Amino acid sequence: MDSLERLDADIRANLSKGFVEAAESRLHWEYSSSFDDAERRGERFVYDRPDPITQALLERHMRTRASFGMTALTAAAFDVGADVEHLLLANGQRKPVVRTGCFCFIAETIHDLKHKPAFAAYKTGLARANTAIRQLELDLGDRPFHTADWSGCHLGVLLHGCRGDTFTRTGSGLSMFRIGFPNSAYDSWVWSKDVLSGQLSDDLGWTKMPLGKPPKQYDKVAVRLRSASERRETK
Amino acid sequence: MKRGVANFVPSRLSQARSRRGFKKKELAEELGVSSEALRSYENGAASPLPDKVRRMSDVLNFPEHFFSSATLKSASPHVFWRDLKSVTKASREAVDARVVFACEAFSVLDEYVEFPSLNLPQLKLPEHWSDITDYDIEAAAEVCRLDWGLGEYPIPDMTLAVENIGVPVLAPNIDNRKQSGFAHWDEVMGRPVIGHNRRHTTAARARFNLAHELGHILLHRSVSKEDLENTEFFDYIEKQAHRFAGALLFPRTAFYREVRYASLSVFELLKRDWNISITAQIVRARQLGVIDKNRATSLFVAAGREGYRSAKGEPYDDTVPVEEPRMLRRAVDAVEDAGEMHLELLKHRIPLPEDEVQELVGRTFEPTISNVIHLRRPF
Repeated sequence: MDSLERLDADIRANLSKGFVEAAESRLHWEYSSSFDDAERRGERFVYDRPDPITQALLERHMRTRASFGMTALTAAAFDVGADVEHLLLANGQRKPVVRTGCFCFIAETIHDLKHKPAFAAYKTGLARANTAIRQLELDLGDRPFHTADWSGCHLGVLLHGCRGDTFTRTGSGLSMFRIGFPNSAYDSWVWSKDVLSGQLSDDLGWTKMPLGKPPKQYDKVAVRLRSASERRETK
Repeated sequence: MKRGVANFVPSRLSQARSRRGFKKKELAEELGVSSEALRSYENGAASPLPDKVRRMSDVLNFPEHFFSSATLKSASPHVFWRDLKSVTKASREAVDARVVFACEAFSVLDEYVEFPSLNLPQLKLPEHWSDITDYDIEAAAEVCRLDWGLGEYPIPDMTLAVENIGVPVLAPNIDNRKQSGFAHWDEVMGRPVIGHNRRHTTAARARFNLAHELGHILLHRSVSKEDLENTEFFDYIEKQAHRFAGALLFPRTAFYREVRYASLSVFELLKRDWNISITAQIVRARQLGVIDKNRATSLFVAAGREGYRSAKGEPYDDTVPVEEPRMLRRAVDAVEDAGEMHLELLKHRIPLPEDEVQELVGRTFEPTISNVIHLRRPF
């Protein structure tokens, strides 16, 4: 079994439906939060044409959208009881990494569905762990000793984004959510599926409705003609 | 000494006038009599002359013999009305008259045919309606679904579900759009009758209205006329029926499973499967705590902006047909199967205008099957 087959088998066997659903749900809430806040504050939107207020709100929304993915990732981890580690990067940023089963997940923003992996040193470091042979010791930076064990993990990435063209509910809401698994060089996806369109759940056999056919509703409105004698009695 | 038509039934004149929406003064003018004379016809102090009865028949578009046919009931029906406050007395009386006509038609048809027996679900509810909690309502809706074998799936045909338990459904065209539905427990028929306004409705709305009215029948037997006149009580009773309708059409567990994120697009997709309106789903999400008040408000604002609450309507409103009642129509069909002369008899015993029969029963008393036998042509 080559590494790609093994990755595919692991995903089919171990990827948690609860984790993906929780992440999706939380991402929706996070993405809609900017618009909800603005609406609650009573911002006067001019729909269908750009104006300075909505433009500023949109820019702020787009700047902060990376945090939506990280919040959703952490919240989903709490939902399914997965471990969360925070990598402290050289520039002072903290990035959550979630370990659930044989996967570790990070989040990344995307502009379109053809998005290629965005290079970052810590991501490449994690991607190298995308093999069962290698024992990786990551320099987490926030601890005196390397205690986090990422061995044998597949790195998965929650890819999320919005249309971002207008500051409307649809323009700023979550419109893209994929789960991708990169190669060890972190420059292309070896396995990637769309969540919002149902591609992932269809592929993994996660059915929306409980198994079995819905029960048939029978027509019991039977109206029977009374016999002549019955009719006379009732008159 | 009283002159005029001897067997004139005063209440029939009131019914016909209410049905056609005439005020007493207006009808008096049309008939060419004084308001006092009309009042005396209606309270039985005087009987109109035969030519006045003919005129009544022409103006009100009711058959002449309607005004001399005995009524089966004298009391005005105890009807649950939606939006009681905003509906005028005249509008209510017009539909009250139709409920009476429907009950009378049912009673006459019951002599010829055997209707499905009444089989309401057995619910364990507090004696008094004010003690019924939201939890009781959710549980009551679940019992109904269990009884009907529907599990946690969408109800394919709400009208059929109601008629399957022996409750006749009416779908008349009512001019006033605020009169969306009504429920009435008829003592003579020994069963309830519920209905919805067909004129200003969509499939999803009609289903919700029926579920709402069924809620009144199942939850509110202990409600008195005085309770309905108290605004606070009335609002509470309506809220309970709304909750029941939501719970019946989209049960709690299924809602939690299906609505992972509350948005208009999610509700639009669910509407296709569950046939419950988007706005009703927003209310349901709020009832079940899936969203907070602010989120519900912003969803309503968004729905308004999309035109869902205007004449444009919601997605699928123009594609999904409104469900049709079948019980009364099948009764007339069965009578017709027994012979055309029975239809003639029905026409006489149910003295209603053709358009009224069409709306209440879903067909007229005219034969639908040709009685002409076509012989094979000789070679």
